[in-house]
This record gives sequence, structure tokens and C-alpha cells, in this order.
Amino acid sequence: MDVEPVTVVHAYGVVRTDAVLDLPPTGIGGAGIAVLDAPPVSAVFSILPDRWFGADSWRHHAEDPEWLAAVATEHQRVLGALIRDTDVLPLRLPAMYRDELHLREYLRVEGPLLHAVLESLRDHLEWSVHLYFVGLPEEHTRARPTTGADYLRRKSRALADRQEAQANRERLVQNAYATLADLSRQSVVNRPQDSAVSGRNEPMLLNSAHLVSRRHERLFFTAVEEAAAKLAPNGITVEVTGPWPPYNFVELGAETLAGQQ
Amino acid sequence: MTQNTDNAPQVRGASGGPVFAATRSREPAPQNLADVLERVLDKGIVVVGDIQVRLLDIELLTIKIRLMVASVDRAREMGISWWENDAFATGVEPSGGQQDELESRVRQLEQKLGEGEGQDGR
Repeated sequence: MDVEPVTVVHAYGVVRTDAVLDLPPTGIGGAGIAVLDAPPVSAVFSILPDRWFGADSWRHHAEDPEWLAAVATEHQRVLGALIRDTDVLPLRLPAMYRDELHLREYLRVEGPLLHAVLESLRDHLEWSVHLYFVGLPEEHTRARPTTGADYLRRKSRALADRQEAQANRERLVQNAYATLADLSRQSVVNRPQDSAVSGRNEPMLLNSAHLVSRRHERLFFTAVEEAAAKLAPNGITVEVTGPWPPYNFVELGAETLAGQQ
Repeated sequence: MTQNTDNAPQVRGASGGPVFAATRSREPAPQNLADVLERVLDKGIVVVGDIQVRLLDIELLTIKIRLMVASVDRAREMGISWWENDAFATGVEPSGGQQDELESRVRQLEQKLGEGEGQDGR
């Protein structure tokens, strides 16, 4: 009997089977959340209506930012709740299976590798650091130049000052990143975010992600505060977001999986 | 359980200190939409599932988002009832030309992905 699927299995992430989980009551679209065990790993998933979240819906909405933003936000909300209590391997969207049997098969086949990655990331979370150039207070207007030569001298000095300030900022940003990277197990620098999406108009000087041990969070935050104190006089503010599941540190994709064994 | 623990980083932007857009409290912290999108759609484990749908690459998505997302707040406000009044629930079809272009792009990406998956390693 061949019937159209009415539901699809949406997987959020992979955890150790023995992990203690505090599942949020609802997932995407208000659906319930369940766990599928395939020891040593388990997947956290929801069963969603195919007509709203199946492959056709994804194709339909592949460039519909509002739809993607809503699904992505819900996906992350579930993962954000899970990482409070345990390590989670976050799945990239779209992460979909026809039914639980297919999801179980994925876990069975890739379980050893997924478990190894979970072990290697044990007790680590991801934090995001953004540096923005917010500028400095306006300089006091000095007396008007008295001669043409004076004017040109001031112009060229102002240009030199700006270039020096920019070189100085670059050095400060690199130093701040290096300091935070020292306290992180791994760090990556990502492309600066688009202001339309981040909601910030100031130029983003750094968009980095850091894999930090749960035990070293305090050290990391202290270093962030010290960096912020150094950067503030130069017109740079620091923003930290997190904790995130280690999205930036699980480079497991089709190619990686195929390359194993 | 709502509980603002002592080690919750405080928001301290005005004085030049760092801004922590997250807390260690038990409540979900509001997070930057750009942070969510760049992770959820571009990072994380790629599932080799029985249903393969490839998205456009994140750069192209960002451009689309720049054009279409009215504001970050609005997207947040959509909450979990966003799908109830979304266009697709009312059966609106995308325009033909755009869809063709999209599909050919998806096919290209699928093909690219397929090459990387030549053998499944088992």
C-alpha cells in the first residue's frame, strides 16, 4: 500500500544515550519532542506535519527568510534548552527523515563516529564574540586655520591620525581575539554579519566563535571584560552571545562521513 | 524553573564594558537572529538522511534576508504561531520563473553534494 506521507521526522540534535535530558515541552510548530535511542547515541526529534515541514515545504521556502528564520529559531530554542544539561551535536537544517526507522538507521550507521565526536567535545560549549567599531566622541573643533599652508598641514595630520587609529584598531582586535583563543579549546573567525540581519549598524570588526570548557567559562568572561576595557577607549565595543551548542566545531558532513573508515 | 543565578553575565553596555547577550539563567536567552541563522543553516552536522533538501548557500540567503526581513524584532515576535498565518498555509504558490531558477540552483548544489558522496564509506 503506497500512501503519501503525512508526517516527517525532524531531528534537532544527537546526544549520548545515557545523558540526562530535560526536554522542552514543545518543538517546531508546537509539536511534542521525543528521543530515539540507538545506543551509544540518541536523537532528539519531533514528528511534524509533512505538508508544513516536509521536503516540499522546504523547497517552497528555501529562500523565504521569515519561514527559515522561524524554523531556525525554534530548532535552536530546543537545542538551547538541551545544552544546559548535556552535550549536544547540533544538526544543520534541514534535518529530516521519512520516519523513525530511517532516523534510527542513520544513528546505527553513524553512531560510533557521532559518539566519538560527542566525547571529544565533552563539557564544552560555544560562545560567540562580536566586536563593533562604534566610533569615538567628536573631537573639539579647533580654531579655524589661518593660512592655506596651515589648512593643508592639518588635513594631512588628520589623515595620518586616521590611518594610525585604524592600524591600531586592527592590532587591538587581533590581540583581543588571540587572548580569547588562548582560553578556548578551539576558535574560528567567521565572516562579519550583515547589518540587516544583526540589527547593528556599526561596522563589525570581528565575528568569532570559541569552544570553551564549561569549567573555564568564568576565566573566559573575565578575559572578555578585560578585553572590553582595553577596547572601549578606542571606540570598540564587545558583545558576547551564547552559550551555543558547538555548531562551529562539528565539521561532520556528507564528505566527512564518507571519508571515515 | 526561573532563577537568575549570581554568575549570570549582566548587560553592561553603556559604560564601555562588554555586552552579554545571554544569561546562565534557566530561561532561554534572547539571541541575535544573525547568530542563529549563520549557525543553524550553515554550520552543524549535515545529516545524510533519506530526504535531501539543499538550501541556497548562506551568502545568498543573507542577501535575501537583507531584502525581506522587516526587522529582527518582528521575526522574534512571530514565536511559535508564525506558521498559522504564513503564506504557505494558504496555498500560495511561488511564481514560476523564480521557482525554476531556484530549482536549477538546488539541482546544481545537489549534484555537487552527490559528487562528494560518491561512496558512502561503508
